[in-house]
Amino acid sequence: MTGDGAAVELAGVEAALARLRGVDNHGSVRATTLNLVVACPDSETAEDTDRVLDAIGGSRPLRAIVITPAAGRPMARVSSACWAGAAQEVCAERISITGERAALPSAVVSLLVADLPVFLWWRGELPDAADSVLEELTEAASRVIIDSDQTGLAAAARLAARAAGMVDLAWVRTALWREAIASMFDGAVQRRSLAHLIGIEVNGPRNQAELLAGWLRSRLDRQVGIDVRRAKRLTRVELHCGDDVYTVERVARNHHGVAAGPGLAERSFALPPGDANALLAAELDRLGAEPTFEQALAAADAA
Amino acid sequence: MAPTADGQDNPLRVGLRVGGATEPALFTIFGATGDLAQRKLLPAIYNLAKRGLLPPRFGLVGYARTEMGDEGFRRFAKAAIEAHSRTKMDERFWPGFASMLHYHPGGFDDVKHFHDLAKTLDRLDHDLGGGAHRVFYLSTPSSFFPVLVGRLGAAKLNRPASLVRVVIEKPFGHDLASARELAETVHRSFREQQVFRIDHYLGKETVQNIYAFRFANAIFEPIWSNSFVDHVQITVGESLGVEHRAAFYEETGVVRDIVQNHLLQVLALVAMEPPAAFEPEAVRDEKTKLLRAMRPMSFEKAVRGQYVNGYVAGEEALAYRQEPEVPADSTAATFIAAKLEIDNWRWAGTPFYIRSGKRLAKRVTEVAVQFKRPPHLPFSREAAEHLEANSLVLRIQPDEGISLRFGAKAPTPTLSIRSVNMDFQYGSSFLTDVPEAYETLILDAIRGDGTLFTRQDGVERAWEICDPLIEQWTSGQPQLYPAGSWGPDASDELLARDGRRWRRP
Repeated sequence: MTGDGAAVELAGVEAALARLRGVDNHGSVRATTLNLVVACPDSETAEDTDRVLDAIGGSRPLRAIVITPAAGRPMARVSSACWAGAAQEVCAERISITGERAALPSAVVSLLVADLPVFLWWRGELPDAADSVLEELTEAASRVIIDSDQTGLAAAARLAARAAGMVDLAWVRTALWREAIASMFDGAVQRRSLAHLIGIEVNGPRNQAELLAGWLRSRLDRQVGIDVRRAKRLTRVELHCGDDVYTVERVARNHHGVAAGPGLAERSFALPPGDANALLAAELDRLGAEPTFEQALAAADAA
Repeated sequence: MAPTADGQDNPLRVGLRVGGATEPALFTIFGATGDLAQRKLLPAIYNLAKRGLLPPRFGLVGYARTEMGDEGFRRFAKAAIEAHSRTKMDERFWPGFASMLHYHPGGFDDVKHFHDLAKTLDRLDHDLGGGAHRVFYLSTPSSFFPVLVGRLGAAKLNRPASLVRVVIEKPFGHDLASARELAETVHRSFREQQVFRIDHYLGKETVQNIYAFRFANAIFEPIWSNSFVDHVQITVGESLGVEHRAAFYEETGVVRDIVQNHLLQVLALVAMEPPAAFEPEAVRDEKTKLLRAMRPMSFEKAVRGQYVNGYVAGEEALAYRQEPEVPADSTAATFIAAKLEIDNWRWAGTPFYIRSGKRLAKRVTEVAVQFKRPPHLPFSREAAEHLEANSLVLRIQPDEGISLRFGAKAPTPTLSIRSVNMDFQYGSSFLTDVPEAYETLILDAIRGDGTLFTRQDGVERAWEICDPLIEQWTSGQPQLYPAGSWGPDASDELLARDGRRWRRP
C-alpha cells in the first residue's frame, strides 16, 4: 500500500488520493468498478478488514471506505495499492475514517465514487432497527453484506425486510453444499423421493443449518424438520426422505466432500476454504436481490 | 438409453449460483493420448470439475490405440494435467475426479472396437443411473473423421439424436468440395444439430465480449455502419514461425489456417446484425447472413507474403524456406493482407481490411474500427494538423481491452488539437481467473448449447469466400517480408490505393 499514514481532513481526501496516483505513476486512466463501505465496530475489526482487503488485492479495482467509531471529528487516512495482473496493473483505493459514530454516514456519502454500485459490509452484530447509522448506510447501499454467523438469523431477517439486495456470508458458505444436495436429485427416481423428505440432520453452525432447512422448505413448499449437532463449520448434512437417507459429508480435513444416496454413485465435490476474503470477493461480483436466499431466510425465520 | 434424468425439473436447482451442466453425461475422447487431449482437453475437464461445472453424474472415457487400463489412463491424465493445467493439481480433489476417468483401448478401423465401446458406455451409463448424454470428441487428425463418424454410426452410437453429440476440431475440409464431402459423411451418421464444430477462438472470453460490447451498449450500435465507419482493420498477428508444423503449413498456408475460420468468424461477430436472442440458431443465422453478403476474395485485392530472415523482438529468425522440412522453393503464404467487401445495407462502401501472418512484429489480435472524419473542422489547419480520425479498437489478445481515440485540446497557448487514447483494459476491471476457451466450449458441448460452434452453412460460405484466392495463389510467387515486420510493402500499398494506412498495433 502507498500512503504516508497521516490523518487528513475529509475535504482533502480526493486530493490526497490524486497525489498518490501521481506518485505511483499509474497514468491518467483509473478503472474503478465499485464502492465498498465497511462498517467496523472497533479498531481490531478494522485491522482485520485491512487484511481481508489486502487479500482481495487486485482482483477487484474498488474504492474501500472503512469506518470505525471513535471520539472526535471524523478524520481519514488514505492509501492506494496496485497489483500486477497478467498484462497490466489493477489499483484499489482505501479510505479509513474514524470519528464520531453519528457523523460517519455523511462522511461516507461524500466520498463515494459517483454512479458506481455501493456495497455495504456490516461487520459484527447488527444494532436494532431504529439505529440511524445502519439506516443511512443501508439507504446508500445497492447491496448489504452481513454474516449471520455473527449477527444471528433473527437480526438478519429484520434487516432483510428493509435492505435492498441483502446477502448473508453464512448463506454463501452453504452454496456448495446446496449444489451437492441438489445434484443428488437430478435423476427422476431420486426426485420422487424428495416428496417424502421429512427432515434433515446437520452437523454445523445452527444458523447455517436453519438456512439449509429454510431453503428446502421454500423450494419444496413443505415442512422440513431439523436436527442440529453444533459444530464450528458444516461437516455433514443428511436428508431423510422416508426410509431413504441422502448424505453430503466433508471428508476429514480435506477441501472436498462426497455426496451419496440410494441409487447414486458416490460423487466428489470441491469444498474450497471459505475465507472471508474469498467469500467477500465473490459477493462483490453480484448485484441485486437473491430471491432464493430471501425465501430461505423467511422460511428459516418463520419456523 | 432412456432419457429419465432432467436436472432442469429439479426444484432444488432454482437459484443455485454455480450454473454448470446438470444432466448426466459421458464424454468420450478419441485420440485421448494425443497432443490436444494432453495439452487442452484433459486440463479443461479437470478445471471444469474443480469449478463444480461438470454434471454430478459424469464419466470420461479415453479411447486410443495405446494399450492400458483405467488406472494407467488416470496416471496419464494426471501427468497431462500437472503439465498443462492453468490451475495447480489439487491432490485432495484428485481421487474423486480420477474415479470418473475410464479408458477403452481400440483402433479406428474395426467396427468391433466400437461395439465394444458401446458396451463400455452402456455399463457406465447404467452406473450413472441411465439417460446420460453422450459427447464424442474427435481429437484426432482430420483424416480420421470420416472413418470415426462412420464407425460410430455403424455401432449405433449416434442414437438417440437428442442425447448424442459429436465434436469436430478444425479443419472442416480444405476447400468447399472437401468440406461438403466431410459434411455428407458426417450427416450419414449424425444430424446437423448433433455436430459441434469447434473453433477455440470463439470460446475466448474477449471474443465473446464482442457480443456484449456490441449488443449491450446503446451508444455504439447507432454509429456501427457505413454512415459513420470509414473502414475496419482486423489484424491476427503471430510472432512465431511455423515451428514444428512445417508439413502442415505447407498444405494449409495462412488462408486455410487463420482466415477461413478464426478471422472470418471474428469479422462476422463485428459486422453481423443483432440476433433476436443469444441462442444457437439465431446467432448462427446472423453470422451466416453476413458471410453470404461478403464478396469472395480475389488476388487483385489481396497480398500474399512469405517471411525471410530477420529479427523478432530482438531474436534472430530464420526465413520460412530455411525452416526444417520446408522446401527451398516453397511458395506457401505465411502472410495475407486483403480487402473484403460486404454488400449489405449496413456495410456497403465500407471495406474491411484484414491481415494475418507469421513472424510479424508482435503477437496481436485486434479489430480497429476507423470512423469517418468530421465533415467540417472549425479550427485552423495548424490547430488540427495532428488530429487523427476517431477509432475504436477491440483488442482480443494480448492486453485484452478496448480503446477509443478522440481529439482533445493540448495545453498549449495556441489552439492545438491532438489525438488521445482512452483505454479500457479488460483485466483492470475483471482481474479474475479467466477460464480457458476449451473449458467454455467443452461445457457448452456437454450442455448441448451450439451458440459458440460453427454451423455447416457458415463453414461452406467461408470456403466460398476463400477458395477463389487459394486457387489463384497456386501459381506465382509470394512477396517477401522480413521477419519482425508487419508484412511486405505491397500490404501498405493495398491500403494506400484507397488513401488509407494500417494502424500500428
